[in-house]
Amino acid sequence: MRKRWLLVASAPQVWRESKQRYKLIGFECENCKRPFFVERVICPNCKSRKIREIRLGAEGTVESFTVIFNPPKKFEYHSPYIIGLIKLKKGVKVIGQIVDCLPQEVKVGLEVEVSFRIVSKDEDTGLIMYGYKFRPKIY
Amino acid sequence: MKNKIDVDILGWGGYVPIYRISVDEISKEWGENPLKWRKMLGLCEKSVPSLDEDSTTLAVEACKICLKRAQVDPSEITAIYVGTESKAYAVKPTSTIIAQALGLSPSISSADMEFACKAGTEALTVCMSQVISRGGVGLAIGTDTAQGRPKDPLEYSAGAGAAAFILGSKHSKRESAAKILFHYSYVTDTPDFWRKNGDKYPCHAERFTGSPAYFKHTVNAARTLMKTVGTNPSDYQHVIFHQPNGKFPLKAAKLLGFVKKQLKYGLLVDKIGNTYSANSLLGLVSVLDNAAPGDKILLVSFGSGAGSDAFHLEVQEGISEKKRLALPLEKFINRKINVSYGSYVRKRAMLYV
Ligand SMILES: [Zn+2]
Repeated sequence: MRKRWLLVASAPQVWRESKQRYKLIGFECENCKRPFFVERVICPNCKSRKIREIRLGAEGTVESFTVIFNPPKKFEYHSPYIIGLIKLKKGVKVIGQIVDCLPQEVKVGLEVEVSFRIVSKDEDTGLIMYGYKFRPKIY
Repeated sequence: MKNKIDVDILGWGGYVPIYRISVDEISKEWGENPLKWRKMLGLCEKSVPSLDEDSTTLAVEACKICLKRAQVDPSEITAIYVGTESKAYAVKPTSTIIAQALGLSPSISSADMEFACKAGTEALTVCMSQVISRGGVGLAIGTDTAQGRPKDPLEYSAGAGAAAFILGSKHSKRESAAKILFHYSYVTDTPDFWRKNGDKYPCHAERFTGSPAYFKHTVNAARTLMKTVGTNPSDYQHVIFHQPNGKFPLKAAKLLGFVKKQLKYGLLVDKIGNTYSANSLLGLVSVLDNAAPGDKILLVSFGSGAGSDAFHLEVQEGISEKKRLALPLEKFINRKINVSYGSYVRKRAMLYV
């Protein structure tokens, strides 16, 4: 059976994505300072080609969220889990899982911070993809 | 004084996952008397990692707190040593994953250590040697997500947690929170606890765990160290022992002549269980969170197989400022969600087998 790309942690994928997933690296236009999550060759705002890497920051707020009760096969033991749209301090929005929190505790505007977690694991080979998730901010 | 060393703790940090399972909940599942188990083990509940946490992720969280306190840029770190007996991979280092996640330079010395529950202080010892001999700033970590076979006595106590320390020497010219001034290790070949290659759960020889293993090594290491330093138990404000349960450290304290007050901050097992390689190091994190300049600390680890590392520490002026820079361990201990036995089984991935 062919595995769905999203769920499988292949060695090249783990290696290629580790920088972004481990450190929440994004990009910024050097000219107009517009930040973005996905790498671009040309700034969509000012058309500049000067793009550089930045750390997007470890804190943000929940803009929207949903609770997954019927997950893809590989995540069925995690159900129910929360997926949130997080607005990071730099202004970039990213999608990520919200952990250490019960579904009834999440709300729009909840302050969250990055938590380093296992994102997926290939059960046959044991290869692990680590990366960012979010947890309610601890004061 | 002979054997004196001089290593600075620049930062410290501890992390415990949010989930707990109580001794009552586990004993209820097996039809056992909860009172009997609570009394026998001297603990109330243990920490439980989520399905998406392992010894690597716990370590990264502890290191993030540690880095904030040390005020060291990750690129300045020159060594990373991780002690664990629950490595994410049988073959593939944990230390490199942590290094990459924290943004450390590739030009570092890096290794994983294993010595049952003593692996964490072993990492600390190697890191001390590294900063003394080579200078620079090193990161030492103890981390574990310990597993106990269902219905085994270890199931009640095997917890999860991580502790991290950033060490420097006088050459690093940084504010010190505490100085490690003496160190002594005592090891023998003792068959008290082991895990076969490929097995999920460890075996333990019941009659060996007490006197020939835990007490012999702990007491020997502590006594020899105090003799070297020229101190008595009453000279210490804080003492931390390895705490596989709530009873052993109290008995070790009594054997050596320490009183309960000295164990106040370093004894955590009743709330989080036995965190193995992080165990006594989390005790040290908690003590540093609460210590005052001038305080003397005795730390004694124990690892099956078997051995103990003992350390004499003296708290410095820099601690007061550093305490405020990051979250104390107490925050993570008090932040908790208690789970049922069913939920625990799922979180520990026992459904997979
Ligand atoms: Zn631009």
